[in-house]
Amino acid sequence: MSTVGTLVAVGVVVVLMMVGGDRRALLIGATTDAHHQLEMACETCHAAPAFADAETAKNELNKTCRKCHEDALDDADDSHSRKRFRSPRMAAYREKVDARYCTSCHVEHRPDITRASAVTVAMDFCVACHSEGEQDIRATRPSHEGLSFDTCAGCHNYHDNRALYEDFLVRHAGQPWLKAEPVHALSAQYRAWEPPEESAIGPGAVAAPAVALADAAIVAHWAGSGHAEAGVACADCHAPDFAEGGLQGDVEAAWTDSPSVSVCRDCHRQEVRTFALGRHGMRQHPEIAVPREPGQGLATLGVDATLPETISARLSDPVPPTHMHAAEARLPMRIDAPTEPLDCGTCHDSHAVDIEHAAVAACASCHDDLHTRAYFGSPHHALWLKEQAGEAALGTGVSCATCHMVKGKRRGKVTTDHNQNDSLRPNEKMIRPVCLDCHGLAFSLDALADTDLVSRNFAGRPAVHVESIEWAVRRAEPPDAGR
Amino acid sequence: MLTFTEEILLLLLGEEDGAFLPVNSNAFECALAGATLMDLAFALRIDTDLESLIVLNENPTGLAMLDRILARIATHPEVMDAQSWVRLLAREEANTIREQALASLVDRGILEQRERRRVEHYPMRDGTAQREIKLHIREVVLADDIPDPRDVVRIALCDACSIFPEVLSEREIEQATPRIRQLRIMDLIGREVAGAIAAIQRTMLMAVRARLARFRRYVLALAAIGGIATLATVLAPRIPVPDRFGPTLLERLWGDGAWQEWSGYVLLALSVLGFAAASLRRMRFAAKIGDQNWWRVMHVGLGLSCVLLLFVHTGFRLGYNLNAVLMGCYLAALVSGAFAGILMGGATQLRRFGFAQAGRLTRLPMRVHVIALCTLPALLVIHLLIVYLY
Amino acid sequence: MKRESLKRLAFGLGAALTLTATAADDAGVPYPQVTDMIYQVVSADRSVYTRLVVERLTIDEEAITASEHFEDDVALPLPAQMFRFGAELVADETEDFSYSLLSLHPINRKNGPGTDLEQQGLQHALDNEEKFYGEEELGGQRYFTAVYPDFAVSEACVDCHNDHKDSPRTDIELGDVIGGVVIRIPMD
Repeated sequence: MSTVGTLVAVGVVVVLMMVGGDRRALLIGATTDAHHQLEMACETCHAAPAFADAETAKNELNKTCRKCHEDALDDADDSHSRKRFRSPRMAAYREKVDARYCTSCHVEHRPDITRASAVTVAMDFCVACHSEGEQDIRATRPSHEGLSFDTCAGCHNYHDNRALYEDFLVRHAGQPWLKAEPVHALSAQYRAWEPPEESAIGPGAVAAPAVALADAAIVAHWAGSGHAEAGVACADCHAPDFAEGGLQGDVEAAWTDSPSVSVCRDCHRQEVRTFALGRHGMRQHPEIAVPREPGQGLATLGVDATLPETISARLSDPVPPTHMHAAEARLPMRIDAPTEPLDCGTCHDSHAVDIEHAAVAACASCHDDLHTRAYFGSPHHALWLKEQAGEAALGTGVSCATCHMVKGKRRGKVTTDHNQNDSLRPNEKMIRPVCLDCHGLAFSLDALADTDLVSRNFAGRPAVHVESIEWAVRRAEPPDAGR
Repeated sequence: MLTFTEEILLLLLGEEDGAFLPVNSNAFECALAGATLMDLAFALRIDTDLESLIVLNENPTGLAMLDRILARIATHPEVMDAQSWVRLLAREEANTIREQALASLVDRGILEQRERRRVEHYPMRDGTAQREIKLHIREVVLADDIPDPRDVVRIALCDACSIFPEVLSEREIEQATPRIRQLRIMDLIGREVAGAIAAIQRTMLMAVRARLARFRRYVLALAAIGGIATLATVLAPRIPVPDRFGPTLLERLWGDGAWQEWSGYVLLALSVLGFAAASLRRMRFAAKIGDQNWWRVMHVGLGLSCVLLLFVHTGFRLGYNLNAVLMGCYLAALVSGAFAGILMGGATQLRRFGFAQAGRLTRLPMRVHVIALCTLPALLVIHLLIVYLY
Repeated sequence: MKRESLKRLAFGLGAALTLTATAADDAGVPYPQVTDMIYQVVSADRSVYTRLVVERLTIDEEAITASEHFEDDVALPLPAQMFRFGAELVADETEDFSYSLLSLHPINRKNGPGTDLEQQGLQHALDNEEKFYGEEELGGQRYFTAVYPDFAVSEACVDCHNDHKDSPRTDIELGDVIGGVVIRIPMD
């Protein structure tokens, strides 16, 4: 009896692992935030062949990390890049922390040892290489003398230190907390953009089935949208084949009520690409593993049979959801958050495509944490309302999107980075592209280091002070230099 | 006609499964030796008085097992009394006697020989032979007639092996005790032998009791430590993962793949050994290493070492999903095992506190122990597959 | 943008050198000859960059500056940085060989000698102004290691190394050895 039970249980698991089926019951620990969105597509990360030796398994696992994260690390000018540690001369350091492998510090499914930023080693890990000999930071930087290694991460980041190098600190020393003309330049530039007048198109000139045009509210929303101003009409999204065909053929036949995201991508390539890099859209990331083919798994097991439809349907993998839902989020969400899948239309109403709605109200329709709640009524919010009311210049208001969907310039064009994580984790990543446009570096460092102030959404002044700038200035211009 | 040896063996077999009834092994061996001597006496080959046991007739009886013993007595350089012979034969010949008698019963078509889980069993073809003997003994004990000398011997042997509870009800035993005592001293030829058995029984019993008490103390102590260690580590707060960087012992134990692999396999090996100690102790080769009590102490000791290794392997972190199920089953097996061990080993002490039924109470934890163990192989294989496939 | 094209350039270089190293092995070319060839290529490329790009545009034409923080300053990467970026890209692509630019007096501490042989080679290069060959074991692998003296060939090198706040040496003159190119090939 128990032998049969054992064989059946093992058999079921072998089939789950090698052939197909939902394997989430096999997880050895809760998946970290964000990665939990992909946990039903194991092969996204676990790409090594079955029963591969430990070395191969480790290499393959780390390859998959890089597939999604390497670009961001390159952009951040990774201070501890893999390529640097691959040099044989780093062998001695590799014995302390093998920095060639992401998994040396970030192990998945181990919530018991997972710290901030998914780090799974003790946070004083800098001690491994920076506490001895030439690399002893306490000896080479007098300002750091007496500091303990659990304080490093208060200022430094292992990968991204673009806002912390000495010359940068020195250059931004002595700035006032608020600049004389606080304007976020790229936001201003972005909002100032207007489509050429001749491209505007009115409701009279659109081709669409009569049923669709009968909804006056939708047509009105569209008519007031940027799309109408830019000459993008119903058929461009709802019947792209018809639209491309130069208004020939039957619009009704080509019509679809719910166009896919690929229609958006045709014009907003950069936005759609970055959306799939952040937590809102990562389920559309191109590197997510596709469901397994049951036949292939059976062949690996030595079974070379074509399965009847009913069985193979049962064996097939759950298709990874293509969209995120507010209910699956691990951050506090509103109880009445929209239940539909998260895509472009969730924040940008499909017809009104209201940028301003997407910049604040859309965020607050789901997010319900202290920082979000405190935004309303905060100084940043007041500025945003003033800009909205036309009482202040473009780019002076600070919306959620100003800080979390950072504007960037690419080939002369201002685009919105839809990867909300690009300016977070750690939050100092926000300093260069956002804060410094309006605030001094010292104030920005202090404000972001004050977690209370962050919760209050910057209503008030920082209660903590980061001494980085003073230290850098003292080193660059020693007090006795004049002698 | 069956020999005494065969009859006593037959009476000691369980009706249902053909396994031996749980009889004190020393008494059992003495009874076998005594029965063989009785057989020889009834075959008029030996006689005994208070000082000596002498051979009357060296001619073979035709029964191999009796003839071997006869030859041994005949060729023995010195004359010994019956008690010494019972002791000597019980020590050195009991196993052979047992095997030969069983073989003879199989030859006679009364028993079958089967092997189940590598332990030999002797189920009865049909229970007639045993039933008849039991019926006969019952009649003799409960009637008032003057019994046949053979019956007197049977009664003496049954009494020596405490088989009466298998034949008579509790009330009948109470009622028949004076008669059993009376019948035993009526044995004219074998009285000395029976007396010797009784004498040996008494000394043996005391020794066995002392031994048993010692083993029980070991079982109790080990099981109690194991149980307390398990519960303490399950209920105590987890030892936090060190917040200082560096390859500390704990970080290696619970973080390093190679260390985890080692501790896992050692744990597996200990578990398998523990299981083996419990399930193989009835095997013949096991008896050569130690008796059942020795094996029981080993089993409990291995269980305790599993608790320690489990801590090394997991830090008593309960895990997630299937790992949590595995951990749950393993802990259930450990705790129930410890509990059963405490009840079994502490039976005497518990009786003193008024828990007379401690022995019966072990059944529940034992059942939990077995059920939990049944699930372990599957969960362990799955655990290993997850580790090696992902 | 700039970094992309830099990446392409260095990648091509890396691939070419990998080919060289493999071919050399097949033909049984001795290790010193292989490292000499690699040295020729990498140092020639840096010389070209220094003269035709950095010196021309910054000193002669005064069109742009060169800066350590070339991205923030919208400037040209320094020749030493260009050299290192190439080395990192090669490291990213292959483990068949590696090279680095080190010094006994580095501006950035991490470019100081990291192994005994590096220390010995750099000292040899500094004292004798000539190359140095040796073998060493790192991380369980044996390497053939060559160290080539690196000279302060232009005013840009001298000024930066003398003026930088982190530089341990301030007395460098044109033509001095200020470091060494270290090339390693794993030996089988």
